[in-house]
Amino acid sequence: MTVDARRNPRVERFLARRGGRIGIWTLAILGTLAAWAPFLANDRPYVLVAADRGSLERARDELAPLAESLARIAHAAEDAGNAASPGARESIADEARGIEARLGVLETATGAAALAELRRALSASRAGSARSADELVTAARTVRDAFADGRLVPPTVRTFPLFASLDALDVFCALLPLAGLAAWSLRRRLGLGRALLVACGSAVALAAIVGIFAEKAPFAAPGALKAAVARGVLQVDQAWFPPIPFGYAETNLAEAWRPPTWLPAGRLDAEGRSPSTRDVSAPSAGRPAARYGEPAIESSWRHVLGTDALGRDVAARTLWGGRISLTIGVLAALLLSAIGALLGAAAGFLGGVADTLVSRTIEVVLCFPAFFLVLCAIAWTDPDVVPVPFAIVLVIAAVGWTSTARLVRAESLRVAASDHVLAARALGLHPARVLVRHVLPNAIGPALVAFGFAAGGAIGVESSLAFLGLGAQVPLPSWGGLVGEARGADQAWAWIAPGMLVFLAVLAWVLVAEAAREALDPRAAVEPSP
Amino acid sequence: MRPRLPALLAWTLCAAAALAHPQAPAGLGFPPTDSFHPDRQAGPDGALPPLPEPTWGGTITIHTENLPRHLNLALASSAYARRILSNTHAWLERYDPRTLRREPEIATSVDVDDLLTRNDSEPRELIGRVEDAGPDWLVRSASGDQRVPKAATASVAKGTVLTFHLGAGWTWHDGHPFDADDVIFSWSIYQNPDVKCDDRRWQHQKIRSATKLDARTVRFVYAEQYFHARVTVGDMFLLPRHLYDPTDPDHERYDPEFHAARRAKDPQWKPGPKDVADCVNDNPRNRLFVGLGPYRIASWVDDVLEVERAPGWKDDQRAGHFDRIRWRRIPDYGAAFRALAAGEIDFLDAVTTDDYFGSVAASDEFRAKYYLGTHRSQSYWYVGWNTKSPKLADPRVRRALAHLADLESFRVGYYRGLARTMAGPFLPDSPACDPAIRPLAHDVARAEALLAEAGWIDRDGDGIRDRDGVALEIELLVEAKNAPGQAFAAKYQEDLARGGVRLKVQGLDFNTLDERKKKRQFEAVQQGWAMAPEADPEQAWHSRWAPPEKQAGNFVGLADPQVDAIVEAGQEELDFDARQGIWHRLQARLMELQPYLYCYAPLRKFAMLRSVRGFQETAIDPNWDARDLYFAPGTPGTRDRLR
Amino acid sequence: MVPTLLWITLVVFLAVHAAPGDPASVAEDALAGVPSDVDVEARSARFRAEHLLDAPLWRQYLHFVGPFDLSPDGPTWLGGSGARRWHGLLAFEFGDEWGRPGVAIAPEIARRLRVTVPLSAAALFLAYLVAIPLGAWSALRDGRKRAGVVAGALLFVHALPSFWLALLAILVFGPTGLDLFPVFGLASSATEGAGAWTRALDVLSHAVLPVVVLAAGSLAWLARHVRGSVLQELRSDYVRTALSTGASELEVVRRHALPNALLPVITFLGTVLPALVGGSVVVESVFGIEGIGKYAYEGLLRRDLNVILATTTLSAVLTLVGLFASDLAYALLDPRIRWGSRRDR
Repeated sequence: MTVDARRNPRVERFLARRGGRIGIWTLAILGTLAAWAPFLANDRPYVLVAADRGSLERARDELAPLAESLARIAHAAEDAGNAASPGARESIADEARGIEARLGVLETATGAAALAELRRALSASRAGSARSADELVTAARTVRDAFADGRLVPPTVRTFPLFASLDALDVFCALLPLAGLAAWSLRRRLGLGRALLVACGSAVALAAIVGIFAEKAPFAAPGALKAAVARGVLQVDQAWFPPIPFGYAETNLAEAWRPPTWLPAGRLDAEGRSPSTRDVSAPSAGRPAARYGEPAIESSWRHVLGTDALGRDVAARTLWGGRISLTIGVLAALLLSAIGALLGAAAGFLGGVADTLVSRTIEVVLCFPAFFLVLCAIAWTDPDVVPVPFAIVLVIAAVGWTSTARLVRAESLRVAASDHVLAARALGLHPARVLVRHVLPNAIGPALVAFGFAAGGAIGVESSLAFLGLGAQVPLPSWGGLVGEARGADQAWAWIAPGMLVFLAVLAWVLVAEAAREALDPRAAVEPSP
Repeated sequence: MRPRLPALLAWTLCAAAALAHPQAPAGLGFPPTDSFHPDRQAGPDGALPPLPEPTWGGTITIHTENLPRHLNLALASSAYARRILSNTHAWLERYDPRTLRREPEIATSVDVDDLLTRNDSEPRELIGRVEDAGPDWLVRSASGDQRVPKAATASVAKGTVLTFHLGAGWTWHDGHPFDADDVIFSWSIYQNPDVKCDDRRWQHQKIRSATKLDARTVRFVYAEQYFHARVTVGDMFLLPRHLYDPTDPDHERYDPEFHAARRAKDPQWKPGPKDVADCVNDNPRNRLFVGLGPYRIASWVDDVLEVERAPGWKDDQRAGHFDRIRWRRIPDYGAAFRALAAGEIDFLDAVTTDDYFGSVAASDEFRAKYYLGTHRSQSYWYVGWNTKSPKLADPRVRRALAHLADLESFRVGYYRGLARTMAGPFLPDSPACDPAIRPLAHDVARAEALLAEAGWIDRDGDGIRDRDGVALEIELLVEAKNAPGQAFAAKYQEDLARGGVRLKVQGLDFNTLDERKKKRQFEAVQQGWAMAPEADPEQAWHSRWAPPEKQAGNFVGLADPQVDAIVEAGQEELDFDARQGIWHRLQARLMELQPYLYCYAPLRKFAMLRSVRGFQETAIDPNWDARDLYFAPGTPGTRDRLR
Repeated sequence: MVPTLLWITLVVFLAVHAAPGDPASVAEDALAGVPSDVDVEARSARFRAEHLLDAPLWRQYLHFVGPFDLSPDGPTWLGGSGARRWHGLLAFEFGDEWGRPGVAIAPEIARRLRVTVPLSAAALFLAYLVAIPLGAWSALRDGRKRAGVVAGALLFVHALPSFWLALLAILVFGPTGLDLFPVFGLASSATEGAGAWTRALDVLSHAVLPVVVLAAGSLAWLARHVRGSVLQELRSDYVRTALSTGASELEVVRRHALPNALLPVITFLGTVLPALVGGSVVVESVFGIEGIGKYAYEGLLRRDLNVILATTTLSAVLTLVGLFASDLAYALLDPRIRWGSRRDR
């Protein structure tokens, strides 16, 4: 089936429904927020103009081992000059290889010019020149002088730490909303399906390029860049932080369980306690200080959704949390729809043994206590073998494919009996070909509807699991996990928002599925499973 | 010592022996009674208001995290069962929970004698104090002194004969008198392979024989010298023979009809070990246990176990104040706190930090009815480094990792100060712990220097140190349901990043984590120890237990000759104070080696009904004694005398 | 039905055994409180022997299915001691909890079912009570504004995650909010000695929030089912005929359309029941109710093989019975279905 908006009345019918539009928009907004979470909530600035004394220090750390290596080479070079022992040559070569790496580090601080002499001396000693030992010593002195105190001033450079910290997956996620937009605007020219394919394809390609060429970024750990500023390693001229200048894993224990800062409850007293803990005799970690790039400690905008037990910003965690929840929803739904559609179509079209087999399997799977099975699988998966999010996807798909299969089976039974399929078979077309060309496209309508319900359901299941403490691992948050971590009535600020987002995401998928169902066939009996 | 000690937790054997030693410390630094009670706060003059006069009577409901199926400690060692039995049962001897000295309970006195075995003349064995008198052994005993030539002596075993003199007037809760036969029977089940008392069988099988000298005297003879002997017998779980031994004429199944019926089927029949085993294993009294203590079990329905004052208890000083104590099982701490706030329980010994500082606990309504407090517990947790891993083999690296940990800010921020930071393997305030040794300071610069010294330098500029092309990236295993562990991991991850070390956190369920630990497939693992007051450090630190095939306490694989020597010296030292000095040296050495990142010994937080007074911290699990507690005068249902 | 059941038990059994880690490390007080001088090896050896953990898998599975006890305590002709003869599913003997040796599972399950089943039944009743009129009404007013609002509201309720709803309910109605309802357990011990009315009132006030939260999950979905079903009937010929005779709309719906429309909804009861038992994990853990869901969940976290097998089997049996019952009800209620003809699902 070509999903072509020019001629496809079903897409138009879908868009004509308000519920469908609201659902799509909600999903688009939630998805975009999650995809762009690194740009919205991050402890690294977009742009940083700063001098990094760290590279200088790292280079200095290398000086002592370098000197030792050089001494050994000089020693060996003398041997080589005098008695031409073959062992000396080899040891020189070994040491030289080690030095090569160290020189690379030194170069980041001084540039190549200061090291040119040393390099020359090294190659001379490799060649077995008799004077090489003296040369080496002189060259080493030059290098040491170059690193003497006050000689080297780290250059002030403009870097893009936030962008540098993204990996291929981040880039792909970030491009997805743009790809969606592009596909939508190209739909009239190319047709929706092809437009989506092109847009997503280019997103994958771009992400792959980034993944191949990206280098390891400094300050990758949570809060590392701010800490470097605080310690004076980074001397900042200018920095431009995202609207929420907190990382999702960045802790600040002095601010643990701080209510939203725009509430009166979020104000701090003289000792740095918020009113929720003011009455008790707990020691205070002291009045917290705002780190570099953060709003002032008393600012109403500091933590709009408060903080959690480790002082992590709930707004940042909620934004990032959508990535897991939404992705798992879509992936699980895709997988289960694929399984269901294939098996259902095969059963309905081929009939006979295939049908019996699939129907019996459906019966068994239906009787499975699905939630327990999911629980088992998650609780016992060795995360080194299967990462937890994938385990969740797999298990949800494994127990959830039956309703899609039943729908598709019924539909393909109908289609298989229809005239054009009968005609196709009469013409002697291969059954598989008939299945793919005629049966599947027709049966896919109900599968699409089921997909919507399944995605909503999967988000619900994933959230419940995470709430029970069986979700993704620290420090990666997910919405359900955020609710489960906070839970208590005293910290309502920390779980209301993530729970609300689970609700919105499920609602949006249900709205979309509902609209799709009505658009496809107002009477189609597709229902969400309980 | 037993050749193959049970792996994980058997590292406290010397402890008990040490405690039996008369020089045990007198003051363990407990806060005064009721120190958290709002009516017991020091006034402006610094004086504590006096405690109200004790009352007797009333019912208290105490929370328990778990209730075992039965209370027969011989069949299963359960800490929860022991806590209940400490009120409903009695032992031959006991620890004084405040001084940790051994005190008599049922046994009024114990004679420790030596055993001399002769080559030829009868009687073969002589019991008494054996003294070296030149060519002879001098055996001193109550019946007079006797000299035995050394040439005619096969062996002399010091301290292997223990004679317990039982106090008079002890009766079981069902009114049956207690006598030496009960003690002998309680020991005999350990010799019966069908009885499911595997937990402690190894201890009791060291006893060669047990004899009843008269109705109130029992003698135990050990096959060989064993430092833990007296405590083993003193702590033996006593069973009422008339309820457990079908061969006892007082047993209910010892009725003529029953025996006649069995004999009718099989004329050769008489109750054998198998019948005794069945009777012990599946005895309905295992649940509603008939004991000797000041309380007897009144009812046990589902999750509520209730005990009432037993009429036969003689010792008024240790009779306990309540007429009834009720334990209610609520496994979830959060739910338990809500139950407390709703008035379902009176004493909750496991308040979570969030509840402790929460709005419910701060509300006037709650404060009018309850008060909150803390006490020490016997456990601490740590991050164990796999010292066999190439990244972590260098003690400088491990020290650097400790210098990077900001333990104090986590203690204050997460535990809100209600935890003690560990400095080495001994609990703070315990005699083995040297107060002069402090935790390694949070010092990033020092850590960086140590790491650079060990060759870990950030060569590629990605913020993570590396050596020989390997990045300093450590995987930490944390139990997934352990909230403090997870929180600490998140914080520590950040701390380590400051020093250029990447920490990967892996949440696992308990079984998987345990297996990885046993197989040594880890770099770092977060775990905890439950400590005896003085622990034998051998299993945890001696290199004997370091090889991977030993699934023992030294799973970090620490092998240090100096540590081995210190541990061995400590095990041989019988003088209490001298031994503590040796443990101090061990602590200092371990702080140097840092096989663990020693983290915290959290305080236990409790909530108690305000009208319950007399809370006193002790040194024995659960670190308080229900018999100390009483209702304040004027509480309905109380009286001012015991009877 | 029995083969399906056996398949399910087999899969669950294998899944549990495939999990990493040593199953024998599930011992009482595994985390806190094993006294340090316990011979863990001997204890674990007896445990392994009693639970056949060193036997081949097929033997363990046969032991679980029963009806004969294959453990060392089993009948003499199987090489056991003869202490016990029967064991396993077929003997209705689930064995003991692993975490608390000596605690038989069957009475534990029964005790928790006594909590969960009334709770679920009440929730289901509430859901039907609200869903049927609501669904029928919104079908009658289909296409009008107010019906649209109701349908939207139902979608909202459908999308509410139950854990969040439960927390919100505690926040609003619990002690920190309006303080209207207790939020822990199902009864307070304070009323233990009180009269029957006081007790009933106490239980009722405890049950309000969990029941409402449980009901909310199935309510929306049921109502939508009723609505669809009534709509279908309204479009059918007989209703049109009835309407054309001049009978009032309400009358037609009440007399003809609704009873027919309710048929599939009522028969659906069979399939909802097991879901209510299994789906209460979240609600039970939030409200601290000792129900079957929580029991199963805790057993699962402890990796208590016997508890897991017992609860999953129970759940599967309930599902099967539910399916069978709904088939039966359908056959009984719908005159068009004859005995012997199988409804195609």
